[in-house]
Amino acid sequence: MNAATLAYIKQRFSSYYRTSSRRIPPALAQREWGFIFFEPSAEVHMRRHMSFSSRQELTDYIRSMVPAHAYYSTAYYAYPAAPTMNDKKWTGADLIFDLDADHVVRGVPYDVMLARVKEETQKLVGMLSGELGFSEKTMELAFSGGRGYHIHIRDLEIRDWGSHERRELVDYVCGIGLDPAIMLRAHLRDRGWPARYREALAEEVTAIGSMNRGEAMAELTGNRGIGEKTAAAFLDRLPELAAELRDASREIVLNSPKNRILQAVIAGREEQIRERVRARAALTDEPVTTDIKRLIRLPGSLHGGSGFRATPLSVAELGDFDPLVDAVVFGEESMKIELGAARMTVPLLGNRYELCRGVNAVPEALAVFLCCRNFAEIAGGGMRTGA
Amino acid sequence: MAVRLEPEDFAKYPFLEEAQDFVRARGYTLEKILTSSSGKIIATKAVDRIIAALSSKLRFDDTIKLESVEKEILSYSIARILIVCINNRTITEKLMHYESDRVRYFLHRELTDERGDPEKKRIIMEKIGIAPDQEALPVNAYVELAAGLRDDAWRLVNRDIRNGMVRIHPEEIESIVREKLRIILQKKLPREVPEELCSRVQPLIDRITKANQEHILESYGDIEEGYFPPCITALIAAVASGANIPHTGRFAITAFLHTIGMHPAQIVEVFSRAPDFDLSRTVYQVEHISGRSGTEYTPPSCATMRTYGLCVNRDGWCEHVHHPLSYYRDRKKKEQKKSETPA
Repeated sequence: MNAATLAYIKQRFSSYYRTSSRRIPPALAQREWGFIFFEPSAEVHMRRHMSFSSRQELTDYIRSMVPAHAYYSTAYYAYPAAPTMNDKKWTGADLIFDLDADHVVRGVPYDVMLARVKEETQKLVGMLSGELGFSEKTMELAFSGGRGYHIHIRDLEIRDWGSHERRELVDYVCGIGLDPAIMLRAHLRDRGWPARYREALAEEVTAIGSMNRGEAMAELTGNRGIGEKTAAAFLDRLPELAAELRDASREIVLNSPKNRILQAVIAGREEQIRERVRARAALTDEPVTTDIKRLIRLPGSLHGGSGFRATPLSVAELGDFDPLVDAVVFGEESMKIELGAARMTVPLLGNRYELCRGVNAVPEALAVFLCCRNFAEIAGGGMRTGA
Repeated sequence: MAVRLEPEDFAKYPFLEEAQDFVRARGYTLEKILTSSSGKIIATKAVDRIIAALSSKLRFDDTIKLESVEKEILSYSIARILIVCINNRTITEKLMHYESDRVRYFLHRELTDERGDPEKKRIIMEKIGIAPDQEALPVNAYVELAAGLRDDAWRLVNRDIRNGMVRIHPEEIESIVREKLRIILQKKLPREVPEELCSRVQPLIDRITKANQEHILESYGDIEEGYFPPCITALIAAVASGANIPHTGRFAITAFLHTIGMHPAQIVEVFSRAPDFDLSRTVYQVEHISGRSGTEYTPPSCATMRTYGLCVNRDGWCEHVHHPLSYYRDRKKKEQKKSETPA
């Protein structure tokens, strides 16, 4: 980012902060804060170990300093401003889930990616409320301003949980550590992981069944101790087996001799089954949930890498939320920017902008986005652009 | 007829409020215990409690002898003060396991012993917060318990869950009570013990830390890299090859080597195999993890290693363990035994 662009972006952020408000976390005085500022050098430096005793103090700080990124600790500390983590005296932490495009989908356009992550967020909300019993009312959601969503849960009884306890929840939503033998026991009802796992396994055996006969036989007899006869018999009763798998109330004793081939399939096709399980999981970023001393972006602040608002949301608001419209805070006034890339298409505010290398006139909102992403620099204004 | 807890029960269940009231009403104070001659016997008993807890062959059976009610209750309380002074996570955890397992044993005896009373078992269990016929637990309460239980069957992901309630089976109740109690005992530990008091009990602490050192040597013996679990071997190889390993990986190596008794200087040597070795930074990290800062860290379990993507090259030994440390201890013991057997 050149000096002119930097000044422009900082000026736009400043005007946003003058009139807007943030979703300040409860127990403000027990949180550590960290900020990254607009600096000419490429090196990123965070000013952290800060604390604020009142909302006004925080607001004044943000308005005067105009940070590029603003974060607070999910943890509560007795001394949040202490310079080392040990001295801060941890007293608890919010429960956080971070859904980031990196863990969900790759290599698709930005808007498609955001839509996929939103779906994943809805899936996670469904598991947390429908299965684990968390109330949707106590979940605070936020679009991160970048490529994903955050869920904040502040139930008092989980505040002092360590990483181990949090790992139980994150492993549950991600489907990590499923024990096939347990999943195949008789279960009471047709939901939760037994049903999902058994459906995934049914799909996998059906996939083996839809290979041509020779291929399927080779696949099965490739397992140690599985002969032609066993494999052929297995293939013949595949539809029946798939139906048994799909009925979670049916007991299948995995370590019985007659199920040795099923056991071999589960071991031999581990990767494929894992993929099918992942498709049914909510792919949240695990370490974020188990880390009890993490900093998280302040909802209502701007994301310096996109210019979008990290948007506070409730579960009810998530359905209609469109980040490329609702997280955009800047207007339609025309701005000239100089694009570095040969050509690009950007969906924003309900339009698709086709841009080419060189100077383009775009709405302010798009100009801020492109400059923050380092795709463009501000052109024109008082300066000549050479065009 | 309502069942009442007797003083004799307080010796079995010293964690009860009633037990603590019992000794308080008799005018025992910490000062008195530390200065009187009868107090010395209590202090010795407290040390014995901790040393017994350190032993991995911990078992309660009918040979257990209860001493006087006061002595049992007071040694229980003094032991708790001592471990707060020592501030070693492993020792603390072992004492918590010891005390909760001791309670589990006496609860069991309420059913089997002719002088036992099932009604008392119910009363104690309710004080712990689990009913004898409990069929389900709320997810949050369950997770607190499951986090400390190792078997895969306890993982939340492997449970039947309906509307925020986790189903539990009758045969699991005993383990659940023990684990719940362990957590309660841990939570109720004194937050801090004045330094002045800790220095007065230093001779007792010395006896415990010495026993702990001996115990470590006994269970892990000389360090043999050949029996390291594949995850740790892979991490060490990665360090040596100059690969940039994540902080979680460095932590795992350091905490593992420290726990099996490696000296910080030797651990630093392991890291010095890296081409970009930075002495002062490594020394700082190693000393921090191995307890210089006051907290000793235990190495991550297999589950944690999996979460961080550090569980690699699994082999047959991995099937039977839930912790890299158990892998090392078991494999070393079995393979050494094999080699000692004459052909």
